[in-house]
Amino acid sequence: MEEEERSNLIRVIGATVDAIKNQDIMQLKNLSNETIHDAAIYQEEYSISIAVIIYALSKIYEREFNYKKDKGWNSYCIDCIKRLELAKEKLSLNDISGFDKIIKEYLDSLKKLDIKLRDNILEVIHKAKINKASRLYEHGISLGRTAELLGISRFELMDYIGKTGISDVQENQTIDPIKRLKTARGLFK
Amino acid sequence: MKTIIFDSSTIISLATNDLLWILKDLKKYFDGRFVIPESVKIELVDNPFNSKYYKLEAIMINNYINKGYLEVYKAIDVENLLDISNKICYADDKNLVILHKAEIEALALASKINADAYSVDERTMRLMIENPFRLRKLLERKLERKISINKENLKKFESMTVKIPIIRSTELALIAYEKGLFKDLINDNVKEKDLVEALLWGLKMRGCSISDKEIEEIGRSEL
Repeated sequence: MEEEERSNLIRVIGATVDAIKNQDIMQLKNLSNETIHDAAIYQEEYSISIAVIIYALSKIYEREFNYKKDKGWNSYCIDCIKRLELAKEKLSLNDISGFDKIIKEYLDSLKKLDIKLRDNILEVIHKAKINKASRLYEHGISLGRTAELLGISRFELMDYIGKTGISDVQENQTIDPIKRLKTARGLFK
Repeated sequence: MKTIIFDSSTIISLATNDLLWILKDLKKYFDGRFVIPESVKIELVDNPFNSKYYKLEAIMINNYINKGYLEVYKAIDVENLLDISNKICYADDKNLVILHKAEIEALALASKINADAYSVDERTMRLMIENPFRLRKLLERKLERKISINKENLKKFESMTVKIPIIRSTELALIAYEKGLFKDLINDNVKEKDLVEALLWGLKMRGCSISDKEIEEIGRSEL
């Protein structure tokens, strides 16, 4: 892991814990977006996983009211903060494999939650992956590479991207569309 | 033989809009073959077939392959081209891995067999081929840092890939419209303008990289 990425992750994870404690949903979303720059450049699973986890947490805490009544919610919240603090500690000690283990254990622990809470949270995580994939694509990484990095299908990603304004940016247009259409006409005489 | 190479993105846009059938008729007008490389077939058929999401689209695409409307070309070695392609754009000293093997394989195949066109709805590959400096501009704006281009690798990339015309699902749908393939859909309530708009917006909404400005321009010229 590059030093710049490591120090960014330490800062972002610390701020994430504070944001959860302060119930600052907007800050969680901002922190997730911040990690996307590193995810696009370094493309290491650490930055990508953290971006997905933080975005998912923003969605989970945004809908806290819905989950509060689910069995296991309180212990999930306590466990989540504990694991994030531990992950930050491992990174601070430059223990990358320890950090990696904590993140993987956190994701595995979701599968052991009570069925209703588990299904809800895993669905949020899946949607967070698609959202973060669309942000990577927006940053210039190709559709195929992005789908590969996030482990999602191109079908899902295209469907999501189509509903964003990503293709409307100025840099997107390379050739006059009428000229491109004329080229196509020339192929189908 | 005349050939158009398809990236997975164009086929996905068509399949999710229930427009795969236009390939059958367009192939007659083209009088050539429509080809996908092996890795694209894996993305379109094999992978979604093994999941509950988009399994139906995978089956439909496979049907078009089985009927010969889409031909699958055996895998070709693209490791060198993939390596060069992903060492063109640099953020500080770090090369940006921006393209995927399947995307490169489609482009390499188009070059190898000197295809007449490459159909790709995905944006990054199109920018890389048509205007890599525009891609750099996008990367710089989004990543908020200077992006440098390794000119030597860009030159190698350009020499290994033909300057091939690029089309998208939107152009294919418009040609199908011009050839009268949608004439049954026109009636008192659905005017030609509605149909063209519906086709272009439908494809855009399912991921084809076309801007609203381009749609407006095309709409004005078509009608």
